[in-house]
Amino acid sequence: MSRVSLENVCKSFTALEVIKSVSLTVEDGEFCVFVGPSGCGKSTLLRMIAGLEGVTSGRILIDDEDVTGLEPYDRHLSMVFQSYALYPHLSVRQNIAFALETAKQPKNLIEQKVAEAARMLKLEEYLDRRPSALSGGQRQRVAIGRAIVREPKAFLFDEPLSNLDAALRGETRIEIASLHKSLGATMIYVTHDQVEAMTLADRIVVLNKGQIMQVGSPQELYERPGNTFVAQFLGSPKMNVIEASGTGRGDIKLPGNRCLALSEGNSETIRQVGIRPEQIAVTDEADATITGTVKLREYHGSVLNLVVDAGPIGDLSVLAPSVSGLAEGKRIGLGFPTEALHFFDARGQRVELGPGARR
Amino acid sequence: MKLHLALRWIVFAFVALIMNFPVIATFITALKSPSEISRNPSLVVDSPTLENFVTVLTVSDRLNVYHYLWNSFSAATIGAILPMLVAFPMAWVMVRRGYGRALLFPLIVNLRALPLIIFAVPLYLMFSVAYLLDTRIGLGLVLAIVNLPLTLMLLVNAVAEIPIELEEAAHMDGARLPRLIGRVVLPLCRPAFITTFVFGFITAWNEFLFGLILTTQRAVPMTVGASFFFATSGGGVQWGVAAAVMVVAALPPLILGLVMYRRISGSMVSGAVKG
Amino acid sequence: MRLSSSQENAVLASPVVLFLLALLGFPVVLSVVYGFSEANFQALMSPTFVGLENFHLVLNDIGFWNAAWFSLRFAVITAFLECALGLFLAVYLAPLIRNHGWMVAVLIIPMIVAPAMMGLMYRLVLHEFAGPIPFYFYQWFGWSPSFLSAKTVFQTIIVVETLQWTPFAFLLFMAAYQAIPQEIREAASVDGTRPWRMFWKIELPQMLPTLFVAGFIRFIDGFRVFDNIYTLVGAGPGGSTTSMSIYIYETFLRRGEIGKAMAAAILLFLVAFLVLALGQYLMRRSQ
Repeated sequence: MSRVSLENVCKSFTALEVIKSVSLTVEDGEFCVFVGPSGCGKSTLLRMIAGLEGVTSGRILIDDEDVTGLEPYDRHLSMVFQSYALYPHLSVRQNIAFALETAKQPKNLIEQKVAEAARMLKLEEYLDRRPSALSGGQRQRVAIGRAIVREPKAFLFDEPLSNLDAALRGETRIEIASLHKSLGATMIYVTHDQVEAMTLADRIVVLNKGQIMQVGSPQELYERPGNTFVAQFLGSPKMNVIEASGTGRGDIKLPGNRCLALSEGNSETIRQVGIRPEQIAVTDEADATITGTVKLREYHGSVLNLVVDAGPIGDLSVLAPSVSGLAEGKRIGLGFPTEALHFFDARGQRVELGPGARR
Repeated sequence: MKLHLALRWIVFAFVALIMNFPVIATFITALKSPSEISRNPSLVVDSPTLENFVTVLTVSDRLNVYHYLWNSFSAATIGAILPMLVAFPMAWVMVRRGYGRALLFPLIVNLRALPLIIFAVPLYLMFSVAYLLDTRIGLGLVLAIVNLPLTLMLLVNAVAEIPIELEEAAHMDGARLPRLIGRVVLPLCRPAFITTFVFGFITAWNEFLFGLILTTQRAVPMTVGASFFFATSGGGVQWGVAAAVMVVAALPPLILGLVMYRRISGSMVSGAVKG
Repeated sequence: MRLSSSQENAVLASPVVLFLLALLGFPVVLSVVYGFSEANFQALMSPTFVGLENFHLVLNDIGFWNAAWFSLRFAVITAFLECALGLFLAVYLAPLIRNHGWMVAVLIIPMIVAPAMMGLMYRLVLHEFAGPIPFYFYQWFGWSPSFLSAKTVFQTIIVVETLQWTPFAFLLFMAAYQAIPQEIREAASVDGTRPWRMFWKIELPQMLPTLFVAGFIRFIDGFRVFDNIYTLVGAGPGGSTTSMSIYIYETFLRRGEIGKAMAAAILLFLVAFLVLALGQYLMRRSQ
């Protein structure tokens, strides 16, 4: 298994810049997820690593070997496609064996490897069927089997779960995670689904408009988002970001002359404050400095998803326990715990408070 | 509603009868004995006989049906397969690499619309130099030109219908061009090859002008050979025999065409609409 | 040795290029050489350069202009009739065809029969003694037109061509008709659109591009007509059915005027080229 590095990789189609200077190293054995809204360039980036798309400038390295100019078949990677891309005219067995036959491996070795993969993916009964006779989940497993038998330097996944129904998606997600554990392989995985990203990744790469917004473990990204984009992209419902201005002293001004008192000093560069819906405390109206009216209430079973009209601050989304029994039109108080706050400057970049403000 | 539907059926039956009338009438005439033909031109046969077919199929030395059938068969086979061989690689590079899309493809496709007579005269001169006049290979080569435009279009459609991910997957599986084309693209195009072959074969079998101009004896195809039976050399035309010959001549394309009418009509439409 | 991808492209395109050069490139050169030369079958290999003489001959030949006029009339009339009839059949029979695919097979039989054979079959069918059509005319009406006489032969071959190639227009229209999304019809009928209005306002406009394509293809095929006319009546009584193709054929093989035939072919090519370019320009603009 191998390390994959990108050095200042750029890609443009005539006038359109799709990837703007991306640098990144995916370590050996790492599960790295590219995530971002549609059109952010995540699939393009993956296809550039695969060699299916050319690179306008920059270098791609696999184990320190420059593969930028190599064709896909010389890079020794495997890829699982969104549509699975199974060869419809070949049986499951032939599909899995295709790459090995291409590499002219000995027959008994091919048989052995195919059998092994089939056992691992519970495909033994279907080996002689055509892909058209399989269910979506089975096709998906054949695609994975085709990828693992050739023992590639790294696995590339291009939204592999998006063609499955919800129940199967969860199941297959777990299978992929355990596959990664048992193979210890380098995997690069593209998805637009943040749940997949959070649950599968060792490291997440958040992309937007062809640029890396932030790289880090799921926990890092969730707890300390580097900018408002990442802050709002991960987490559901998304983080509330409120206009604010730092005073440099112990409080932060919010719209409508409200103030948030902090235990430490803050920075004058702060222009926005973020807080996740689940971290806003619902209190009695009388006890709170910030109050609002429940405007919309979505019942989700265990929780209520509220939209609260907080006057000059604007609408806030708030998660409350179902048992709280809040009804639309009710006035409530909102508590913003200091340790749950995120601060951003005018450009949306994260502002850290002084040492000790938060770990 | 019922009445409407019945009216539609009547229109269909009427149109089908009128359009296919010559075919039906020829078949019926072929079943009449010579004496019956001279007294009964109607569509009802008094005493059906296979006499005419026997006459046609028992070899007569002057007008040998087997000879014509064999000429048509071999020339049409060349004329259907050769364009597939040369057009298939072209279809792939054009669809996947955009090579030849600007000039070569429109050039070839537009050949289809040119009057064939334009080529007939210079090809005659060229063939007379190259000793290809009155040969099955020569006729096959010309039929290959006739078939090339539609063959290319049908194969281009076929390649374009293969999902690009399949070719990318093969690339990722380490397949280079020869294996990609041999193991993935070719097998996936097989249905299109069959359709294209049948279409090309029927077109080539039915071709008349080049057979008339470029052959005289050894390589005369069935369409031209059939017209010889109408030549009134001494006495009148033997209508029964002539009708039987036409049935024999029209049968191979008819059988192929009717068995595969869905694909044939489908490719006619796509050939016309995409050109 | 590994090929770069542009080399691969060239290798893959080479068979068709070589094929075209050999079988069309060479004839094109010959056309030009003989088009500007005088030659005959006795001295085929030794053409003598005569400049524009052949073109002069062709353009001053009333036969050439007659043939051009014949082909033009023939093409316009048959293309119109075939499209009208094909459109009617496609739309009128659509409710039946949806459930009975075999009907299509029955209707495309005429197209599968060689046009040359069709011509021969009509020779039998229209024959005044052996043919069933004159027979039934006499039986039912007491008289029969002589279908292949100078007066009626033009109408006869128009009918022959139309009956053979209406199925082609029918097929195109059928496909276009089926391609109209059913929801559009349903939406229109919920809005209170009756069948006749549906056809004129909803269906026909969507089939218009196909109508244009079908008309254009049938016009071109009609203009170059040869096989069925030739086997049915040849050049016709008094040369009355000499189409452009038959004119060139006769000039070349019957009269052996190679240069003149070649010049006519070149002129025909130029006209065809112009018509094609114009047709495709119009088609592209309407899209």
